[in-house]
Amino acid sequence: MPSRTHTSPLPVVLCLLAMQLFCGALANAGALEVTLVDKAGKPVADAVVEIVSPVVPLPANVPLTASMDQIDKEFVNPLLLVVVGTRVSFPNKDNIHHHVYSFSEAKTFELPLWTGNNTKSVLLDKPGVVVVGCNVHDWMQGHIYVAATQRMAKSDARGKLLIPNLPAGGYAFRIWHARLKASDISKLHNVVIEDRGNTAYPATLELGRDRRIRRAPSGLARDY
Amino acid sequence: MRRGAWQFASFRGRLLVFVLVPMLAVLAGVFFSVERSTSANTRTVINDSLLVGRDTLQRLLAERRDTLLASSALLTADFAFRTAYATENYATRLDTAQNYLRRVGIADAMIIVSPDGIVEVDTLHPGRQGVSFAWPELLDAADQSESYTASSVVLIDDDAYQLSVTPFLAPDLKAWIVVGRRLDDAFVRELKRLVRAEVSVVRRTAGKATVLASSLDATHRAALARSAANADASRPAAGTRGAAGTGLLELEGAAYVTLQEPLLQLEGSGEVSTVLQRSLDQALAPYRPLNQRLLLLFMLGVLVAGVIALWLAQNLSQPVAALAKRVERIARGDYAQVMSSTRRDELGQLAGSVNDMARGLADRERVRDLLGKVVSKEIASELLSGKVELGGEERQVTVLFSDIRNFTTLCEQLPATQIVGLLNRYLSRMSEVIESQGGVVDKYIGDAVMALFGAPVARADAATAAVRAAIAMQEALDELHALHDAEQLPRLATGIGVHTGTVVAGNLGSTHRMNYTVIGDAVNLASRLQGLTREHDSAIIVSAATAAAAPGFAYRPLGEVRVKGKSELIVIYGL
Repeated sequence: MPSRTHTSPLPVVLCLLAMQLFCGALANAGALEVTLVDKAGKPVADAVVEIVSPVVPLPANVPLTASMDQIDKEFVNPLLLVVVGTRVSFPNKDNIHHHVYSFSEAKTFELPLWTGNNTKSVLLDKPGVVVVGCNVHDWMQGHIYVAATQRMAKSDARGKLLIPNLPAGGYAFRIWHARLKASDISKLHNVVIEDRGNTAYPATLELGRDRRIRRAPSGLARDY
Repeated sequence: MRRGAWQFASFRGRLLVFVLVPMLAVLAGVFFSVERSTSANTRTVINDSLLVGRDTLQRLLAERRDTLLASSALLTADFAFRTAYATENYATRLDTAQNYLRRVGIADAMIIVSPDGIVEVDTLHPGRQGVSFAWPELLDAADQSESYTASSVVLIDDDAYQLSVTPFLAPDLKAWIVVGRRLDDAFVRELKRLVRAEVSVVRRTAGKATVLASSLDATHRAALARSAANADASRPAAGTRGAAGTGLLELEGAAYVTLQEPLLQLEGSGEVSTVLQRSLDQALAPYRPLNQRLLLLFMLGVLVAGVIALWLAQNLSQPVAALAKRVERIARGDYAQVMSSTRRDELGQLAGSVNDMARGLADRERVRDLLGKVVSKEIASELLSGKVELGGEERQVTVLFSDIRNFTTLCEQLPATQIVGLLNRYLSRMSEVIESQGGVVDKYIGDAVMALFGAPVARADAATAAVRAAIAMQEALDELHALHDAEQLPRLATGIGVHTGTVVAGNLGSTHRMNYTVIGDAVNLASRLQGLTREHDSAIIVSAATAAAAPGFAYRPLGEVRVKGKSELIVIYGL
């Protein structure tokens, strides 16, 4: 926060203006700051927290398109957070064919071998996690988190995530991670958000193994 | 003779024993050490081959595991399979699994297990689903392993299966694909072809053993099951434990070197293991002709040695026995010369020595005979004993003198030759009587005989013997009378004087010619007493000294006489 005792008039004015704008739009709002570590105390990145209660309708201005690129036989953004109703496209930036598919409950689809920009996009119309793979390249794995609301965020490399603009009050949220057990994923976390400032919520996650086929250097030998 | 025969046999036997026993011991030692070392060597070779077999078994299992894993990895990467699985339709999933088995042709079973360990499809038990997978530790092992795979041998419905687990990632974990291959007769046959040993898969639980698969025939399978059931609970079918984990196991009377490799530890004390076996008898078979040849050679050697020993014994004992007989004959006084042996060895020398000895003995005997004729036997033996030296000693002896009366007149009446014959017969007869009474004829003096009693061999009853000899001489003379009467010869009359006293006895004469005799007063007195017989009309006159020394005879006192050359009077007795 900028200091009120700042002597320079322009920054102070700008700052006050900004505060005015912010507080005026979301009066008495706080934020949820979740810090995730694993059993070993290491920060857990790419975990998703979604507030499931109370539910607020999606605002009209939410963007409903997204893309998951493939470059050098990898998904560029392997964890994509979207809201229900988003159309996701899978542009292929490689000069070889890919075969993107998913057998997930939230969405089962298949985009058989193609190159370049695929005009066909996939409409994700159910909340849940869509695990995306490539039938040609077994190590390619992507997750599309389809949230019911916009109140969600994914943790950064420090294991931290912030969900802003939460009016003070009680909330329930879920934590998702690709290596988290199903029972842990379905677990509800309750928190009371203060009317100002960030409400910290530290959590320790018990992660399972990273079950994925490792990319073989030569692409020939099996990895054992 | 019998004793000699026994000795002969004993010598031959002893030689046989001395030659054959050490030889047999050495040969037996050689034979058994050869046998032992070939046996031990064969054991080592079999052991090594079984250890190679064990490695081959591990290798084969690893290869089969890799094949199973590779094929199931390909399967799970197949989009058709992924799609079919995604239908979540049981019949479709089962059909897909069965199709897979048909296509790869190397697997006997497929079980699809959900990530939380619930069986979704089981080709061995179609219709069975929703139950917990029986080997969750296998899934855990796969989950924990670097390669996401695991493999193990398990028992399914009394069959041993090699199971391999791969994850079904699409792209996240959808299921575990468990593919199994039965360790059946085809498997053990393949292993047998590779390792050239009998292979069996045996399951053993407390006191009970089952052969799940085997390259053995039915009878040997049953025998293996029985012996495995009886074997030590912790190590079934191992038999006696040998080096490097192998043991000897007897099946249907044949020994097998056995190596057991555990495949699976069952709950409790049971286990499933692979048993590798090689027949010891079969492996030893190439050595059998060698052993037989060796045995034959040894027997031949023993035979030859025995024959040689017998020949040696014969060769030695025959001349020894002949010599023994010869010596025996010599002992009996038969000195007849025998052709000396042609041998040049020690036995030949011995035979020569025996010949020399016989010759020497014969010579001595001749000397003794001659001597005996010249002097008395006792003096002769005293002389022959080698203690011939001049000198004498004082001895108490009884001297007997006998003389023919009127011999000079007789000589005038008869021709000289007749006199010699008559005299010789008379002297011979008298000498016999004297010697039979233990007396010694000291010398003949013309027709007179001088005899000694108590010399050279001292005797306590010398006087008695002398008196007895005197009486016997008279009786012998009576016998001679009859002969003389028949030959119309005049009868002989004799006088005998006997006296007992001290004399000097010994070898008297010169160093070249000596005589054993006695000298002294006693000799003279006996001669004088003989001279007195005619005037006292008594055939025998003894002195008082003799009568005192030889009591018990009917002595007639003849009074006292003064003898020529003697001062005192002598009391004499007639007989």
